[in-house]
Amino acid sequence: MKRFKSLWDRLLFRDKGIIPTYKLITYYALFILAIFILSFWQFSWLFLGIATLLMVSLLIIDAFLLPKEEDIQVDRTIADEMERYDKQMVSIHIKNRTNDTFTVRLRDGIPASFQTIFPFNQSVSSGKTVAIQYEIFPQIRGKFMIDKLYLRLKTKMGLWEKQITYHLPQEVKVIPNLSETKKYLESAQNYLLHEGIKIRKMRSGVGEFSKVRSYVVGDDPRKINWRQSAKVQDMMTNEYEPEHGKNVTILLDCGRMMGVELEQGNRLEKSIEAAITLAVAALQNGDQVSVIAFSKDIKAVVPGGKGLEHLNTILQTIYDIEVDAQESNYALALQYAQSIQRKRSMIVLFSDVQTFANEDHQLFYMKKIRKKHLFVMLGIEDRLLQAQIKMKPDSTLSAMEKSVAQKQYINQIQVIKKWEKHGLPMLEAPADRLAVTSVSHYIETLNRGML
Amino acid sequence: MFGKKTWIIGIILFLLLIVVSIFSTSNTPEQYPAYLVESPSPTGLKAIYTYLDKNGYDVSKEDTLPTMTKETLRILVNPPVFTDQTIENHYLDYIREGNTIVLAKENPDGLFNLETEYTMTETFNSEPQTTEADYQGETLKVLPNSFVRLVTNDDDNVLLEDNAGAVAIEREIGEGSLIVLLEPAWLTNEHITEYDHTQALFNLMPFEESEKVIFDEYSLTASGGLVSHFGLYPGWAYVLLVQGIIITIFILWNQGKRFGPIYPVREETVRLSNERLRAIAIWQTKGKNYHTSIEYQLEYLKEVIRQQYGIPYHHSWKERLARMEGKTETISAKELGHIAQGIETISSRKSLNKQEYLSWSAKIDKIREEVE
Repeated sequence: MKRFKSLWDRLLFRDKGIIPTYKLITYYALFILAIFILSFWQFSWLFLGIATLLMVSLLIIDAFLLPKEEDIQVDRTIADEMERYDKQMVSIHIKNRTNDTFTVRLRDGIPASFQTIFPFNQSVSSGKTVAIQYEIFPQIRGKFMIDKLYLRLKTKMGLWEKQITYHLPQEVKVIPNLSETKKYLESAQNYLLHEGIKIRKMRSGVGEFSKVRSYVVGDDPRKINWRQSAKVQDMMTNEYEPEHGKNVTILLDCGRMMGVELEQGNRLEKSIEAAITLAVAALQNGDQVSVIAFSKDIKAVVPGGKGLEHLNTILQTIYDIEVDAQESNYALALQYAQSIQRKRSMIVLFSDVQTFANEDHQLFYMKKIRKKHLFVMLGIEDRLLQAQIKMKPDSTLSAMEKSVAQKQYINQIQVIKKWEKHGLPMLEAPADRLAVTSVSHYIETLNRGML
Repeated sequence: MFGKKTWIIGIILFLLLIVVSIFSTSNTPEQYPAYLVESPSPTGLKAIYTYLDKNGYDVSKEDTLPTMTKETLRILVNPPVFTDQTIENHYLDYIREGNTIVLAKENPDGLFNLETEYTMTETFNSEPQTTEADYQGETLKVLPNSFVRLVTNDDDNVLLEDNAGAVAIEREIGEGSLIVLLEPAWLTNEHITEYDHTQALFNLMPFEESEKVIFDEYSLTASGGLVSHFGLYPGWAYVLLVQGIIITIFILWNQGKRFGPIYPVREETVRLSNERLRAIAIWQTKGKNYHTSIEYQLEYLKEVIRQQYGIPYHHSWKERLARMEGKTETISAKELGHIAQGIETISSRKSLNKQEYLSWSAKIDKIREEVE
């Protein structure tokens, strides 16, 4: 019974088995045509039976030439960690221990979000190891388990294909896309070029001492370091730069509205990328960064840390957070942020302006927080809302939608103004400019010495 | 060359074949179709055939169409209704030549232009009921099986009748005659000796007058009655059937095997930012809150105009649109005046109908486009 069950599985449902190819079906169709034409003159059951049996057994011979599972050895090489929207190569090494050459096509058990085209009809010569490569394009962040590798082998004749499945468990992390971060690290000033913000090293009278350098025309004469000038017989001036060691707390909303689809990825995706770029900017500046991801509950917490190594901690903690189908609990997140951040810090909340603004009782908390911390909310501009405001109404429903969208927009403007009056800025940026906006806001805050 | 497993499977298959062949050739009684002359089974006609043969009649059986002889008696027991008209015509010509055909069939309607009608007999009895049938004044006790009776013409000679109607008639066709009997069962080995069946048969059939008595099996064999299922269609049809099954198995096998992992559909998790907005809009439409909607649009327009031209909120619509004069391209000053007037009017009204709502929405949108 068990034997029968395994045979049944093998044929139909499980991962291994033998499958007739199109070539076999074509050959058989030709055979049918021949028999069919012959049957107009001559028909006998005996002849039909014998011819069919003969043909089928002839075709089956090829199935016995297929390799055994042990004769083919397979290995997969894939990066443990890759960035979203960053193309990667995966290579499959196939070692053929038999004396025959086979044609192979493969499917890997990678998640559907790793967009790829699997190679097919690759030749594996006898006694050799072949590396077959294919490119993946990960679309979704997270931790993925890649296990099964499906192979279909056929002989040179190619009438039957043998499907063999190998278990090659491997864990792959897809971390947020760091291209914005890399751009920032390459040249911070270039990155912020369009924002028109200068990363100033000094504002007269504030900041901490950085270094002594030669005096150039235009420097503030009040900052001439007379003692040093006397020593080196040249005019030297003191240079100051904004204070280091400030605290930045990043809050990441993972609530329902963050799951909204954008042209590329969803809001959370973009927010995470912006948050990481902001974290890099702050870390590079010598500030302490802590990150809190939340929805209904606190989902992930990175306590404050310094230096670019801290970025890795942040990445490893938040790389697999996902959108929850729940409303965000802002009060909880803010309370939590206060509890882990006793010192004055800049709290940056990445969230959806609509949801945040619609909850009136937030303002009460915010006013309390503002006494100690510097708060800013960053949201992604709703393109769909803009499109709906501008669309041409052609039915009652679309006119209604339009008017509701307009009302919502007006409301939003009013709420943002109200909050700004209380010193709580809310910024909205297009999805692709979110990271730039957050970083430039941070630098502006530093430049103005507000923190 | 083959593994141990292959051998075991092969042996099992071989044993299976032996078992199947033993079962398929075991000593079950031979099956005879009904009304066959050689058949000794209760449904066969061997009794009457042998009797006639032993008593000096010239009896034979034929399984071809009749040749044109004379003075023969041909017995057709339960033939199928001929689909081919030429066969029936052939039989009719045969009668016209001076031969006699005895047609024994439970319902011969449609054969040789015969018609039958249904009778209301007491059929719901489980016990077989005998009836008194009348043969030219003589009363016979018989067992009727047929639910129909023959419709007779004036020319027909009714041979046997009961209360319900004619059971057997004779019809003159050309030089010969056609004798129709509704009870083929009386001829069978099982029933021939029961009641007065034997007497009835010998009364009906003119064995004495005929030179030859022929039991016709053509209609039972050639026209489909005895043909096996494997000979019914032309050879190529069977080739297509058998090979079609095999290639279908191959194709299903090829198509049905899964290659690669199973992926759930992604669309399940996609959401859009205008869900809330749509819900409110549908609710507003159902509530016919047209006036509120127009107010929203006007509010937005106010804001847009303020952003563009710096006209403050507290101005009335007339002032606002009057100040816009000369800045618009597609809307004339006069039109702007009209619209301002209209806006004042609809703002003061409590409700709007659908037509007004749509036309005002379009007008407001036109100004909005102009401003932006």
